[in-house]
Amino acid sequence: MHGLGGILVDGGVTGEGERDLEGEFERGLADSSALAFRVAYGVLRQREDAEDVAQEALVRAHRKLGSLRNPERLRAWLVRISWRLALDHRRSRRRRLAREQSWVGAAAEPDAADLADASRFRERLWQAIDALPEKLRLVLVLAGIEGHRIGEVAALLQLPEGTVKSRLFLARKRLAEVLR
Amino acid sequence: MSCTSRQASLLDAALGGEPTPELDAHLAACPACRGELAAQRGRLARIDSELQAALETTPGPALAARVRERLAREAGARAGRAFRWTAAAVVGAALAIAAAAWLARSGAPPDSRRLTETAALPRPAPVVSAVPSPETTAATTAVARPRAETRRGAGALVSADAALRQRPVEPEVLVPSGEEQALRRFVARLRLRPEEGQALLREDRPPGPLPDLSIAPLDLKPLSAEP
Repeated sequence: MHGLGGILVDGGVTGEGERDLEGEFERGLADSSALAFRVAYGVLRQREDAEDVAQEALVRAHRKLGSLRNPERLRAWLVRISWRLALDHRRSRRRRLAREQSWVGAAAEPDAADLADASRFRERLWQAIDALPEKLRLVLVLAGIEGHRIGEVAALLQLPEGTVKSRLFLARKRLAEVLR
Repeated sequence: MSCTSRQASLLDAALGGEPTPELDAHLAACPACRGELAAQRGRLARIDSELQAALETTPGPALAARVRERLAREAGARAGRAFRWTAAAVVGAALAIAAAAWLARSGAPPDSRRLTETAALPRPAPVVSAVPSPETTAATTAVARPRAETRRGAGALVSADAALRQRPVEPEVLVPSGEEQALRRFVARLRLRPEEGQALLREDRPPGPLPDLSIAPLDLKPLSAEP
């Protein structure tokens, strides 16, 4: 069982075939929280912010329970809304940071020794990820979340596996070129 | 083809693409390109592992609790809104009922008052057959009684009218109010002198005044056009 979709697929069924959507949501809350949080973290890389975004995404997903009865669609919707909310959050955070940096002056230029450092590599990696087109970036983050299982990513994005595969190939290729 | 121009092919191979036989042959003979291919694969592996490690992070245990708390708060707010609407509807209905009761107590609505007044109006004299017989007299009396009872209520009035409609149609004369006695005298005279009645009905009746039937002729003034 994984995320919201897994729970909904495996979720209980009440009498007369009516699915207990509230119960399924409650039972899958831990897994779906992790999914929303990781998607948001893939954009924000900041725990508190990612948790705020995940919370908002889950509340909105709960409001959509009635209209998004298909579990795969609901899970895909949760991914999309988490992604969108995280991007919005990052934009507002950047504006805030830009304001704050204008007060303290420009940051110091990193020296060559730092480039070899693991944390520096991580920083460059995320910079490269952020520079990717959104379609490639979302596939890359979801592939990181799902352990590069193409089928899972395709289900989350409601896309053909071939499309996901080619987008992932392009994303990794651009990262490798940038990080050479 | 130089080693530099093979970089793109090497990256494709590192990304999992199938190397061409020509690239395979070059790699077998070129240790630099083999090294570059290994470096590319290592870089990609590092990217993947960094990404995966960063995204393996899990939210704090409080996140689910925060979501539950917020959903409960929103559900409470929704229930509050629903209660307020329901309460407003109940109060509105109660006010409407109270207003209706007050109107009913202080005076009937115009329509029902009109109905009551209609029922209380002095009615024309009971319908009397032009040629009364013992049977029709009895029928007229029987008809007149329910009419008198209809003044007690509109429902009874309707049922009495329905009963009237079911009775066989008889020739009727509407008697103006206060002329009942005159009509009775006229009928009695016709009984005593039926030839006068026949004379009234004859088409070859000679012109002239009608026989004295003890009924004052109507004093009708001729209509005059207004200038």
